[in-house]
Amino acid sequence: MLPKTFIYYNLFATVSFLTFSAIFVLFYWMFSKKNYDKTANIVLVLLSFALALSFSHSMFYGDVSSGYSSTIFNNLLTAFSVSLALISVISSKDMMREKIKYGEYYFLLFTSLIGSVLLINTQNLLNIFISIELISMSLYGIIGLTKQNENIESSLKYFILGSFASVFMIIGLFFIYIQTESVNLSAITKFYHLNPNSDLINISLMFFLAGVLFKLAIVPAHSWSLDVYCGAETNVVILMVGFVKLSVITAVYKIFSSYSSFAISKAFYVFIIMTAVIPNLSALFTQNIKKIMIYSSISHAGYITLSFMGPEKWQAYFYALVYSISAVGIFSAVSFLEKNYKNIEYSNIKGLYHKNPGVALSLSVFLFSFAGVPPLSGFFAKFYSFYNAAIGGYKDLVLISALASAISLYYYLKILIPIFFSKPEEETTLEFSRNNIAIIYFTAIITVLMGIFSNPIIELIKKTI
Amino acid sequence: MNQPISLMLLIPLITAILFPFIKNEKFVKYLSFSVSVANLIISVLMLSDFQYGIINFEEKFLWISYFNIHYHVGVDMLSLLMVLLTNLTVSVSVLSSFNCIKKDIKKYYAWLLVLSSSIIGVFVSLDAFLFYLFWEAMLIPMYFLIGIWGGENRIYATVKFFIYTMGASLIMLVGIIFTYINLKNNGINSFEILDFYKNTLMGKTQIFVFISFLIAFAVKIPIFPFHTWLPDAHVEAPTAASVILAGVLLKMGVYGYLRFMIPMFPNLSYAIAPYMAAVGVFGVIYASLMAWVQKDIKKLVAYSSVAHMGLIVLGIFSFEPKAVNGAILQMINHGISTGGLFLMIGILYERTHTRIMENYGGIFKTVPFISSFFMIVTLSSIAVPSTNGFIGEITILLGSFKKYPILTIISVSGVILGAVYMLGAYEKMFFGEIKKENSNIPDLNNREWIYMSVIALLIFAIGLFPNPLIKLIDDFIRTYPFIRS
Repeated sequence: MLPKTFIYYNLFATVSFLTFSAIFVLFYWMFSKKNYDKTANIVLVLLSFALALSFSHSMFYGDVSSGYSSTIFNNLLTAFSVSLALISVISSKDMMREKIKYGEYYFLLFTSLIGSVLLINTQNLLNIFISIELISMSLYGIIGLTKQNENIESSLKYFILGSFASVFMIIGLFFIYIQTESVNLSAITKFYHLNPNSDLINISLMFFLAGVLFKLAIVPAHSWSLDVYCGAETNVVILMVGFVKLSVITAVYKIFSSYSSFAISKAFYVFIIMTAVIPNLSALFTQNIKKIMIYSSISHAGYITLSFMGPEKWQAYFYALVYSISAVGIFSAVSFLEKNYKNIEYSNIKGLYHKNPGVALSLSVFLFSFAGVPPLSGFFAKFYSFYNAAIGGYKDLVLISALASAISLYYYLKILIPIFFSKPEEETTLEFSRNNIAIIYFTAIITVLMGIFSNPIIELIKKTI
Repeated sequence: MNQPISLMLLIPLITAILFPFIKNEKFVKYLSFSVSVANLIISVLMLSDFQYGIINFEEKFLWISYFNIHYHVGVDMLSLLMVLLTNLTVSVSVLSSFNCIKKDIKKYYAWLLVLSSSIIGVFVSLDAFLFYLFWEAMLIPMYFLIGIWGGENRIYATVKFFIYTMGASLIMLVGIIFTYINLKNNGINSFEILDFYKNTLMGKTQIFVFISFLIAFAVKIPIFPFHTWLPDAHVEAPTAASVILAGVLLKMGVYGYLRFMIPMFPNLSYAIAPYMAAVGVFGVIYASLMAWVQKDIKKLVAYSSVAHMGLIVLGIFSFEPKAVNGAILQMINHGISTGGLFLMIGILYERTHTRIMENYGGIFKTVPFISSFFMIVTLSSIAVPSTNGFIGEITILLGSFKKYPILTIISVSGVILGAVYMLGAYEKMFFGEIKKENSNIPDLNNREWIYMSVIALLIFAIGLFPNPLIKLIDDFIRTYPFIRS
């Protein structure tokens, strides 16, 4: 058994390494005479080190009293989110050179990653709040960094709405602290067992959850995401649907697993119905592919929260892992499309299959996976999630979600129609960056494999959670 | 050869994955043909090794331990017959598409092989989860086959096909989950189909699960109100896909009834049987009338498919051993005869590029062999004695007459209607004045001779010597306890 101090240091080591990297990148950017490529390469190296560091820690575990708990599972999840960040950086490296031109982007990326890592490891509501703020602040900066009007607009929108969400979280936190005299999740669990009929704790926790759910873009708090994601560069969206979303899901998981009352479940019941149905219906009438994928990401957040409704909640993690990988892949593909087509609507992407069969096939993998067609991993994720909700007694919810995903099938298939079944209108060759394509292929392969070989992943999650 | 089933599933799949690395397109054609023939040989060898009364060639590995999901495959007689039919249909349809597919040849054969793999998977799965996996996975290759190589209106057809089937299947997935949870509450943590029979579902949940299975399979068969995807899909699909669709995919629905719905909910199934039989018979009449007014020969055959499947539904839901035997026999017959019809239409379409019957006319003189083979499959389709269709239909009618005399009498009129529209179509196409543009179309080539003679041979072999096949099916029915005589 390792000494406890060492265990304490493994989270500390990762976070401090990331902090060091953030500062180092900022200075490197300045001293390398603002050479973008050099900075980006340094970022890749640093992220790989961070990945190695966090992964090497996943062998150790410990419970640290300062509000963070570094279980093996949390360490693995940390490593996973660092690798998601790494994938996103590789995928968007070349595109960002033309669009963003600022090394500060990587500084902010590191700070948001620090927020995610802290969020994954925390056991404490105050830390959840701080980490979410850290992530959000970094994202406000990243989105507006290009200095294009639409990006700045979406950054401001996100900032204003995000501050509202933060206010809600603060109010909730305040009331919780008044009652329980603690911000630790374990203390809340204890309090709940002593006072199972307290309404105030329900209300205050709902306030706090409202802020978290806003960040997760659950209907009815979803409409910001359409504006913000659409206004932001697609390469930034890759970050937001990747490790950011994953870490916010862990926060919801923590709150749910330490405290779930009837009242909150009832509220979620309504949220999930809305989240499964509304975005899927809206997407039917949307032409822009990026918008459709944003709607789809909202509905997938609904399916993830669906898996919180049952007695065991590991299904949510499996879904989140599968979703975040495929989402990084599909938004990489969207950025590939944006590079080559001015307006990525159905009518404009004709014959992609004939121009670049690899990307077209990968796109079909992602879309079929999102639609839940076996043997792709999206099907397995959906199946586990449905199962968990059904065993929790929410059979009608499962049925509604199944019907909603049947609706979603239509627009997923509709995207594939021009790609596969039409001939290209003009014989231009497509520009692409090799890194971007490599990530699209890589994530597509992972999307196929994670389903068929889901058993070891489930076992690992269940053993370590 | 210890694990023939896995071999059958894997060979096409691995071959399809290799295709992008093969440069020579001719090689791809012959490779995929030999793969499908190899599968056919394997399944014939399996039949020769078959031991009656038990599940043969079982393989079982733990796949997802939390849910106790196994990769569990094996065949009983029904499955094996369906696998044989699948392999036969796939080999024939691979052979039939050597000439007519001209674009993206490699991808075409790759999807075709993936399709064959997933269809075989449906018939050999003994685990409900695995069954569902193959059941849905089959949609992806079909989506691309119709969408890329189909006719003019292919996109509408393929999307409709996909959404119909998958929408119904998603509800079935919910049904499967509910059944599993019911089993788990009873202490059986298993997705085995045989364990699914032990469910103790009650009340509303039972009815929901029952209906979810009922509709999912009804869409596939297709039974009357759910049939509208079929004419579109059939007409727009390339020949090979039509053949597989008619030959095998439609049988998956009936197979699902026999494998899942009836054993899982025998009492509900008995209760609903008269209505199902009535719907089936209504489908026979309705589809026959629809077929009668079609101008497009492919659409006509598609509707005749719906009619035939209605008769099979009547046979199954009469729960008479004889009728069920006939229905299973007719499943095979329908695969052969309607597959043959679609092949013939494909052959003609390759030469004339039209499917409208009026554009033919009088071509009997120019293409006597095509016309003769067309006649043979037509006769089989309208159940003339000495062809296989006769044996199947007469057994269904004899069996179901005991239970539903009136319905059976009505359905006979549907059979007569079948003769009317099929022979009418034949007359329009092959007799009468010959048209100028059709005066020098070439007759069958060697390749077409080969596969059409196989079809013709099977039609007469089953028609004249049906006993061995009936005995094989009887073996299944004897071990199938849910038929009350």
